[in-house]
Amino acid sequence: MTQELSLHEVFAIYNLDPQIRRRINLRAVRDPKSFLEILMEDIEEAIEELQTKRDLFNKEDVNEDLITTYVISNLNGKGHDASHDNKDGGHVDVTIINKNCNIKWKAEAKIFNGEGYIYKGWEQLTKRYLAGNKTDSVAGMLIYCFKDNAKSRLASWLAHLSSLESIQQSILPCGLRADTNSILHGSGTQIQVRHFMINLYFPTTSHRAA
Amino acid sequence: MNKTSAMIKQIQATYPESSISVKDVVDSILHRNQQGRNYFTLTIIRDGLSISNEYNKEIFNILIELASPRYNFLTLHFNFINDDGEPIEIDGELYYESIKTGTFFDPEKGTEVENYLERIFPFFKVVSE
Repeated sequence: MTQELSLHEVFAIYNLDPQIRRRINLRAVRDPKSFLEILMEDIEEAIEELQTKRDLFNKEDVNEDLITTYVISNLNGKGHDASHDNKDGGHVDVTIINKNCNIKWKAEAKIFNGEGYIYKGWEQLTKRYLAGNKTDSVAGMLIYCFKDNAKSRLASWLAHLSSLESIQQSILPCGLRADTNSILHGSGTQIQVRHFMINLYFPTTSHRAA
Repeated sequence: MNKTSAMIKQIQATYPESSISVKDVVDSILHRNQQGRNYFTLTIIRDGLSISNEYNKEIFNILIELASPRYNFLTLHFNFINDDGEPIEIDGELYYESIKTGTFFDPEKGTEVENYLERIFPFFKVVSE
């Protein structure tokens, strides 16, 4: 009988590339909480890669959809089931499904064109896309910031949001992420939203930063 | 195009450079599953297709992709080999916890297992319709 391969040997085939470890984790988990831990790590890595290439996105013809497509493609490359414009109470910018964990994570994506503009996205997310289903307890806001000082933009966005809605907020130590807890208007159920302020500021261009 | 053909096409497109045919892997799994087998490992697939071990990575890439919940085709599981050499299936969450913490406890004895990755073996099951 041929010797079976242990995980130690499987990892060795990939020269200990952490990607395979995470992909195996993704297939192994059954608990929504575990899935979300993996998803948040993968989104952070996708954002890091997006920010590294931010010069490519500082062009007039780059819109929210193009940047979001990049993020979706990156997450699919990491083994997720991510889609763009999925029809679910409207055209949801980002939908990530994991049937093993019975979770459907939705996110709205917006370029930071002022707090009022972001709020429109928030309303779409919380009033249209999230219906209070069992899978609707966590969601995200991806905010693409071409302006300087993204950290202060997140603070101003949260201040604006809390002036309009009853939310509990907690800014993560990095200053570019925050979690809010609030009640969905339609269902009355609780929703936790992770806000990702993504720094795409690139000083050689002026049109976005203006 | 049926669901299986669409899955094969999509996975093959993910690995365009792969020397291993996704269809061959899927056919091999389905054929054996029809004969009553529902325990598949990289080695079982590789030997069934008479492929050398230099393609281990390519076969595992396909298996891990086939285990994506989006296809509802395979699921990933783990066996821990106990001190008596017997396999004990462990929960995926237990595996994940061990990876996060770097520690694993023998599910029967409760004692910490050193070099536990050498005693955990991944395998796959076909999802029953």
